[in-house]
Amino acid sequence: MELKITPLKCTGCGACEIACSMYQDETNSTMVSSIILHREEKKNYFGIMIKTQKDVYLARPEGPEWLSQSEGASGPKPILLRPPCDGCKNREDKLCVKFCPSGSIEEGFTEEAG
Amino acid sequence: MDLYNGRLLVVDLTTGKVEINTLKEDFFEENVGGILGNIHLFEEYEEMDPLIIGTGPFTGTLFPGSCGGVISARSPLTGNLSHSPVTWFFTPEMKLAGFDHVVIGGAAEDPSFLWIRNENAVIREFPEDIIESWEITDYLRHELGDDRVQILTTGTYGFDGGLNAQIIENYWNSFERYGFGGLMAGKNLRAIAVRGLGDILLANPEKYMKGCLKVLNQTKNSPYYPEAFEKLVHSYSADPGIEEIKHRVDGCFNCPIPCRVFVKYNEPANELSSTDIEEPGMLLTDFEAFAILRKKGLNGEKAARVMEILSRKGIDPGVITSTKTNAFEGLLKEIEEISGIKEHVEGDIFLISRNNIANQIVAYTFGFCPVLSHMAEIVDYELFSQLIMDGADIEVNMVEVEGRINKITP
Repeated sequence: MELKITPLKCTGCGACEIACSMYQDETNSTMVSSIILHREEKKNYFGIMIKTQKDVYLARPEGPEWLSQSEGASGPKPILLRPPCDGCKNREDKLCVKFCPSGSIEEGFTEEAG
Repeated sequence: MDLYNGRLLVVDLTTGKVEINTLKEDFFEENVGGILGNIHLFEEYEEMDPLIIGTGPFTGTLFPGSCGGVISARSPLTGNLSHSPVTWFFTPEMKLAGFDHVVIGGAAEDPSFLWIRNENAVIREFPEDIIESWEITDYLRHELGDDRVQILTTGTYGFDGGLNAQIIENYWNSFERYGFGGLMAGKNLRAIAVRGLGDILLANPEKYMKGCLKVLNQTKNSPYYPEAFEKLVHSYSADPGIEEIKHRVDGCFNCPIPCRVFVKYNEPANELSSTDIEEPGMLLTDFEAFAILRKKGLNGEKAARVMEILSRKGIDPGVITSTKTNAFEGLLKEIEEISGIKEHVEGDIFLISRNNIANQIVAYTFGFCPVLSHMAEIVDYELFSQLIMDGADIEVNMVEVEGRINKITP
């Protein structure tokens, strides 16, 4: 994955979800992105999950974890039905990196689980 | 229609009728949205004693701080048409559900909630005995099967007829100071629930993003960046005192300068996992009220616990300014006994501060957070005009808009 995530810098604002939808579908939406914001609100437990080509990366605050795509979150549009992150290959910039206000998502490399 | 939905939801709780009306381009050319749109709609629907929720052109988009919406109604406290911000995640979801403005009038016969999604809405019955805000949100998210449903409600105090009843955003205090929670209770409306599964289209996505990025970079020059809660509490000459209970900072939808902080006092603050403790603490939102509690001598944890009680009961934290005691137990007793304190209410539009007032009204109009507008110099009529052109391909007369904003600026 061509991204480096620092979960504890995340503020749960969801800018990355919308930025990703701008890349995927040129629209503002939380339904078409490769990124899903997960929040257990009363516990203040939050982070993002990213669908990669093979797996799903969970940027959990207590430490990252890889899941298979079938194990990803459910919801109105499960991650299984979403496009995988391709590192914004049709652009010069990565939109989630550009619009993440806290620096939680940066350009970099994270090895996939395999 | 791009950038906007072009859709108005009108709900009459008395008759149970739900109408979806078209808002044409000329409505937005004239009113832009947000507070100006709400004022226009209030004149049209005044006889229904409506509660109106408005989004702006930037709400729900990549524009920084685009959590911003505005709720307008005749205040039970002042008798005037008044306006308060809606932040966190409600109004972006409302816009993604397909509505720019929602008008809720009349009163339901039985306890009800309004469920908005997929360009439609229904009025449903709500259990009589669930009246605490946290329980209401838990109940609705469970019933509707989605943790990202966003909810406006009030709490036990509001549903018991309290005058200072505040609208609560999911679980947390909002910046609503005009007793709109009581207005909801009077309408037998236990909650408004919304989930946005749609999208907001743009006429020229690339140019719109470029403008948003420019604003984002400006916010990073703010002295409040990258997080603001403690700095805002300090601005009221109070020491936050939350070092030992601070968990993490939280941003509202697409906000670059989070001004909320979650504190944990029912489990260790440094616990990062999702544990069996369902209610480990409280999200502190109202930095002004928190500062006042600290100045009354409460330590950070006790002040946070007071905020939790206020949010559960749906009591406007602004009442703290009127309470005399500074002892924890005495303060809670006084709050319990509140029957209507008006002294803390100023004017008809909630303002974060007396600085940059016009910029806060601009935020209410265009659909971004007035707290962000207070913290960062981002108001730029020329850029905003261009963004509306790039987003919606419509031309707004900014001289007229600025004139209307100045007219309502206190």
